[in-house]
Amino acid sequence: MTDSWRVALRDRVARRCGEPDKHFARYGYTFGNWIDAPPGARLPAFLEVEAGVADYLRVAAQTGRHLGTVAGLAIGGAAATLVFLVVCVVA
Amino acid sequence: MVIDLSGPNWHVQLTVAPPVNPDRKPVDFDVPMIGAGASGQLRRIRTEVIFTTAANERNGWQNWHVKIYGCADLGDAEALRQHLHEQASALQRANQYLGGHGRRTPIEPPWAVVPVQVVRGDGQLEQLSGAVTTRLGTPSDQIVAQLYRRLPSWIGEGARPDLYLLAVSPQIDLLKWESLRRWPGTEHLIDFRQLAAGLDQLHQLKWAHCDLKPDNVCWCTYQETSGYVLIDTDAATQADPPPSVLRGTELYEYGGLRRLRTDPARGWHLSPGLLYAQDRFGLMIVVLCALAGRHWVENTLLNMDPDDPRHRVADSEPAVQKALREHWADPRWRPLIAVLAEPFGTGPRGQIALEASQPWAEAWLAAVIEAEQRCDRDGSPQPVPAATELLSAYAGHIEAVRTYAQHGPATRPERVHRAYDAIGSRAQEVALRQAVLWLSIWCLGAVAVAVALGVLVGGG
Repeated sequence: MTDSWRVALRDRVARRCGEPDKHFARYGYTFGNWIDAPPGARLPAFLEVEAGVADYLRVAAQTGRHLGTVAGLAIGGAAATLVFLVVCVVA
Repeated sequence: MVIDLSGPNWHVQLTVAPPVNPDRKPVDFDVPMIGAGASGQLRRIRTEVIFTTAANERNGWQNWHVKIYGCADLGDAEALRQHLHEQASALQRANQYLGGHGRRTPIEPPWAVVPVQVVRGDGQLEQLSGAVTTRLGTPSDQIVAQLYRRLPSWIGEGARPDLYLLAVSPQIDLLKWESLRRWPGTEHLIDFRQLAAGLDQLHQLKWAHCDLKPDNVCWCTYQETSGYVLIDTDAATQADPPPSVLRGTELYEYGGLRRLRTDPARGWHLSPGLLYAQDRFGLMIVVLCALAGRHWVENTLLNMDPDDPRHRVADSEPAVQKALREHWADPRWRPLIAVLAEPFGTGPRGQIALEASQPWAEAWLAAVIEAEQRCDRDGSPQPVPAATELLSAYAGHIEAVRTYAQHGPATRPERVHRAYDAIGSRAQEVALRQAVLWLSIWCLGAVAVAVALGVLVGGG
């Protein structure tokens, strides 16, 4: 169950975000320069790459949030119904 | 067998190992005849070459490559020595141009072409032309090479030391080129600058490498310098006056030379421009191997043009442009493709520029880098200030990606691929964390509401 859920999440992230090599090819050699730059190098071109990485991670987070919400509504809804009935009977 | 290389304030001692493969490879050289001056008369020298390695017992470059040339007579040995000596001198001068920052000795990077030092088998001193023999006031680029101890028995019983010459050069690992790149691997471009600058300088010295191809380009990392470096200078020759024969690899031959070779009516008359163009064509091929993949270069670019089977794709600018557009279908790469295809044409930026004696490689590479910058990055690039909040939210992940990519020794393309892998796994991690968080929120929330409703309904 957990494994299939992880696989579903991985596939969704890959579909929504795209493969990193294809996605980041747009930055060309600047991407390699950014990797090799010392920490704290704030060139506009590097900020653009970092914004791209942050945006990629944002889309991944959004995908995770969406899947978590769908699963939470389904599992939580079922659990809530069960709990409601038990509480009604006990009370 | 020990080789001693020394210069002002440095000393390298190489212990030569017996060859792993005892076979000797016949190699022919066409070198200027001694005393022939500028007449261009050449002497064919047949040598048998033993390939082996050497380990440095002192500080500096650790592993060395050794070629041991066996000549037939003293005349051949002396003519070959002079040729290799001049070749080594030209290579050193080309490398010297790359700047002294960080370089302490001439046998340390940065290099555009791996330096070669000639060593005489008879143990006599060998030093670069122009260098004076005394240790006082010697130029900083001076290299004195000497062979200590006698030739080992594995060279051959009774071998005459004065018929042997050794060429020693730093050993660099061969590069594994990517097979296919569906998106231009432009992260490599900047690493070719040193090689391009050195090639221009070599041409300014009126020398040509003549065998610039993917197999002869390696990746060199030493202390804080790294970049692509040319190896195997066996075919390197003086371009002006040009030699009458040329050693190279047919697959990577420049179109002008192919036409000369295949058209008997034109006669075989080499010119300095053709030799420079051969090197420049080789550089274009190597850069395209990095950008588009070696398989694509060898099977498409250097193959016959399907629209005109008499010619290779690489012999026509429109054919190269068409092939690259098919390979990188995304229209955003059009400016890059246009600049990459230009030198394959016959116009002022093609054949004319390639065969000119003026420097070309560095300016061409700068134009390619500039064209890459003109490629549309998604049409609507994200404004950086708006992304500041997003950047701080993922700052930890972003820094972790860079740290992972930089960890341990790796070439720049390997570091780029590591970064891709790290971004992929970070994305999964972020997604999973969010999924678990929101699953928990919805589950706990729904159960809490159910309990409250249950108490209200049941209690009432």
